[in-house]
Amino acid sequence: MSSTPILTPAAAIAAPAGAAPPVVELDGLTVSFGRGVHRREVVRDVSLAIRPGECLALVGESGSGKSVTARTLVGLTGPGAHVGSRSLRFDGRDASGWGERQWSRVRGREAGFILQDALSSLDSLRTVGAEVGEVLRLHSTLDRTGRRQRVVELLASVGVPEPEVRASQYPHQLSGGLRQRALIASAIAAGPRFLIADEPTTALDATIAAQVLRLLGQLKGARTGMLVVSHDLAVVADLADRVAVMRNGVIVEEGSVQAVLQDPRHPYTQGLLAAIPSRTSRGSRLTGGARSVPGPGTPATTSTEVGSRDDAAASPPGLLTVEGIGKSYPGPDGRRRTAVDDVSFALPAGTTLGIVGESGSGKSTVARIALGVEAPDTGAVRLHGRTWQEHRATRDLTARRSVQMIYQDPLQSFDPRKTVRQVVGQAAAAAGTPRGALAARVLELLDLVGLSADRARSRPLDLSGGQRQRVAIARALAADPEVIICDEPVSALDVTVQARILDLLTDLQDRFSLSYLFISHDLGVIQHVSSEVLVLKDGAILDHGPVDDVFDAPQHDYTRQLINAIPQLPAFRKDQVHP
Amino acid sequence: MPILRRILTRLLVGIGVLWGAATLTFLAVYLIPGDTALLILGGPDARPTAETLAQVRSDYLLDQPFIVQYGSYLGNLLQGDLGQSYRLRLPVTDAIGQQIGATAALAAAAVAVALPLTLAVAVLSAQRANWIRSIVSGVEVVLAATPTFIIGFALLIVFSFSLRWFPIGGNQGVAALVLPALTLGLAVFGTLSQVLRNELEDVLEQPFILTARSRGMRDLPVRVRHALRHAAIPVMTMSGFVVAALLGGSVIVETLFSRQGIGSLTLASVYNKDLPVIIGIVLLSAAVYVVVNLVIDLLYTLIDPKVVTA
Repeated sequence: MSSTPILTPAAAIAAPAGAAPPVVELDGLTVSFGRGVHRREVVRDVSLAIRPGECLALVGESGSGKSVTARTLVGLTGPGAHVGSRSLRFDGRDASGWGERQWSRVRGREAGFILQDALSSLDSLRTVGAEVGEVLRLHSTLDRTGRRQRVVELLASVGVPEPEVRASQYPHQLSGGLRQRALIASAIAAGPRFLIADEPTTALDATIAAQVLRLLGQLKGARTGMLVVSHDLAVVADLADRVAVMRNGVIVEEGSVQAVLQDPRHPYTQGLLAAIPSRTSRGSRLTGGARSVPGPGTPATTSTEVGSRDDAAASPPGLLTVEGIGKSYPGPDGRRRTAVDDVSFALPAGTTLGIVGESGSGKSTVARIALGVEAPDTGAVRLHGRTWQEHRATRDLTARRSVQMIYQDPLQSFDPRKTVRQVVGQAAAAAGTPRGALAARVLELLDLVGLSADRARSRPLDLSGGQRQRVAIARALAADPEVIICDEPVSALDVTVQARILDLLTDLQDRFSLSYLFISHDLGVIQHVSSEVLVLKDGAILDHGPVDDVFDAPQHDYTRQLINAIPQLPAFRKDQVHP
Repeated sequence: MPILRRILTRLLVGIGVLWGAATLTFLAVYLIPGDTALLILGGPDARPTAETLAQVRSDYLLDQPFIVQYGSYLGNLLQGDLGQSYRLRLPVTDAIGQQIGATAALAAAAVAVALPLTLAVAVLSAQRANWIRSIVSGVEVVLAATPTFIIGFALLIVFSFSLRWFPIGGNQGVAALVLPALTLGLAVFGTLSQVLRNELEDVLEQPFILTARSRGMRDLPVRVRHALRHAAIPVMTMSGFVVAALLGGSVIVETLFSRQGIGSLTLASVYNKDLPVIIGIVLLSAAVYVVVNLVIDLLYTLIDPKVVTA
C-alpha cells in the first residue's frame, strides 16, 4: 500500500467550482499523539482543499484518522496532539500558527461543526434554544429577545416543527431526528462558510437519516463549503462532490464521487465499495476471497459433532413459530403502551427472517419474546411445536439452548474481568461439554468464528468491535443452537468490519443450517442476509413476505418510505469490483 | 404538580427519619446501665436520700413501664419540649439555643472557605498538565487525610503564635472566626475538590463539550457554563458528608480554639452524662441532615430537567 496520496489536491481541484478560492486548504497535515516511544502517528501527509459550494466526503473506518483530520481543520485536535502541516489556510488566511484565541473567533462564526449522536452532542441540562442561542451570544450583537427570535427562525429553517415549543425543551425530550436538526441549527446559527459534519447520520434510523442528508444538501449553498466524515460511502455518495478515502492516516484515493464510485483504483476503495451490503450482494461474499468457515464436507475437528441437524432439517416449516403475540407495558403516565401487537411469523430451519423497523417499533421486544425471556400477553411462541411454557414444564434444557442471541454491543453482555476463554468456556460448559474437552471446544469455537487461539487470553476491553462480535457469536455457537436471534449485530460496526461479520454469519448458516432472526434498521443489511422480511411499525406488522416481493411491491406506504430512504450508490456496478 | 408531590413525599420521609432518630436515642438512653435518677440528682457524690430518689423517679416517670416512658417522651418532643439539662438546670432547647449561633457562624464561614476554593481549584486544574494535577491533588489528599486538630495546630502555630495575626481562641469578633473556619473548611475542601475534579474530567470528555468548543466558546466559559453544572450533580450528593464534617469537626475545632458552640456543648454534656442535652443535639443533627437533603433534592430538579418524577 502506498503511503502517499494517489492524487495531489492540485490535480483533484481541477474539477468543478472553478475560480473561487478554497474555504479551507490543507497541505501535508501530520498529527500524532503521545510522546517518546508511545508517540503514535494517526494522520500522515494529508492534503485537501474545499471550495465554496463544494462538499468533500472523507471516508474510512474508525481509526483511519478521518475525524482527527476534520477536527484539526477547526483547531480542535485535542489535548496532547502534535499537529504539523506545510500549510493550513482558512479562508485565505494562514491558520497554521493560530492559538486558542484566534480559533475561538473562527469556530461557530466561520466554521460550523456537526457531531454524531445529537443526544450526547447537545448539553442535556440546557434547553435546545439555549444551545442554539449560545452561538448567537458568542458571535452576534443580538440582545436576548433578538436571539430568542432568531433561534426560532433557525429551528424552523432546519425543519423543526413548532420551533417555539421545541426551543424551550431539553434534548432528551426531542426525537433523534429533531435533535440532529437542532444540532445543525446551532452549527449554522452564525452563518459559517465552512461546515464539518462528522458521521451526521450514523445514529439515526434510515428515513430520518435520509431527511438529515437532504437538509445538509440544502445547506451546501453557493457560499458554503462542506466536509462530511463517514465510514459509509453509500451515505455520502448523494451529498458529496468529491470523495477522499482514508486508511491508516493516509488518503489512499481521492476524486469526484462518480470517478471513485465507478472506477475505484485503490484496492482498499474497491473493498470498501464491495463491503456495502445490498440486494445485489445477497448470496455472494462481501469481503471476497475464500470462505472463512469450512464447508459441511470438511471433517469436524473434535468429537463433539456440531453439524448434525438431520432432525431439524426434517422438521416442518417453522422451526420457531410465533403466533399472534402481543405485549404492552405500563407507561410513565400509568396507561399501558402497546409494544407488540398481534405479530405472527414462522422461521424455517436454515433460513433468515429479517425484521426491519425504526427505534421503538417493537423489534427488540419481539426478539425477547421469541427468545423466551419475556412472556407475551397474548399469543404463543413455539419451538418444535411446543411453547416455551411447555419446554419449561418438562425441564427441557436442549430447547432452551437451541435458541441463542447476539446483541449490538457484546461488550455489555461480557463480564469485563473474564478472558475470552472463560466467556466461551462458560457457555460451552453450560451446554454440557465435559470438563476435559472444554479447552479443545473453546479453540474449536474460536476457530469457527475466525479468531486465532492466542485471542483466548484477551479480555473484552482489549478486543476491537468486530472481534467482540466474533466472541459473542462463538459463545452463541457453544450451545449448539438451531436458531440465533441477532439484534442489530452489525449496527455499531464500520462497513468493512460489518462485511466480515455478515460473511461469517452466512458461512456459519451454510455450515450448520442455522436459522437467523435478524433484526436491523439497515435495509441494505436486511436485503443482503434475509430470505424473508417483516416490516414492523408501532409493534405491528406492515409488510411480510419474501424479501424481493416486499421490496419490489411494498403493501404499505411506510415500507415504501423506508425503501426510498436507502442510500443509493449512483450507477455503481458491483461486478466491476470483484471480477 | 410533580414537584409539589416530590416535596411532600420527601417531607414525610424526613419526619420518618426524625422519628427514627428520636426512638433510637431514647432506646440508647433507656438501655444504658446506671441509675438515671441518680444522674439527675448530680451523681453518686450528691448522696441523695432514698426518698428524693423515689420522688425523682416518679417525677420523671422512671418507675413506669417502657411504653409509658416512650409515649410521654414522644409527646413532649411533639410539643418541642426536650426536657431539662441535668447539668445546666435549664431547658435543653435554651441550652442549645444559646450555643447554636456560634456554631452556625463557624459552619457558614467554613462553607464560605471550602466552596469557592473547591470550585476554583477543581475547575482550573481539571484536565491540565500532569504535574499541575499531581501537585494540586497531593495538597488535597494531605488536607483530607490530616486530622482536623493537626491542621488547626499548624494554623495556630503559624498565624497566632508566630505571626500574631489572629487571636488564639475565643468568640470575640470576626478575627477569632478566621482560623477555626479555615481549619474546618480546608478539610472539607480536600475531599470535595478531588471528587469535583474527577467528575469534571469525565464531563470534559463528553461530545457536547466538543460541540460547545466548536461554537467558538473559550476554555474557561466551557468549563463553567457547561461542564460545572454536570459535575455538580454527583458532588451535591456529598452534602451529607459535608454536614457530617462540619458537625463532627465543630466538636474538635471549638475545643481546640476554646470557642463556645454546639461542639463544646456536646463535649461537656458527654463528660457529664447530660442525657437530655445529648438527645437534643442528636435530634438537631438529624433535623439538619433531613433539611439539607431536602434542599439538595429540590436543587436536583432545578439543575437536571430529567429529574421530575419519582
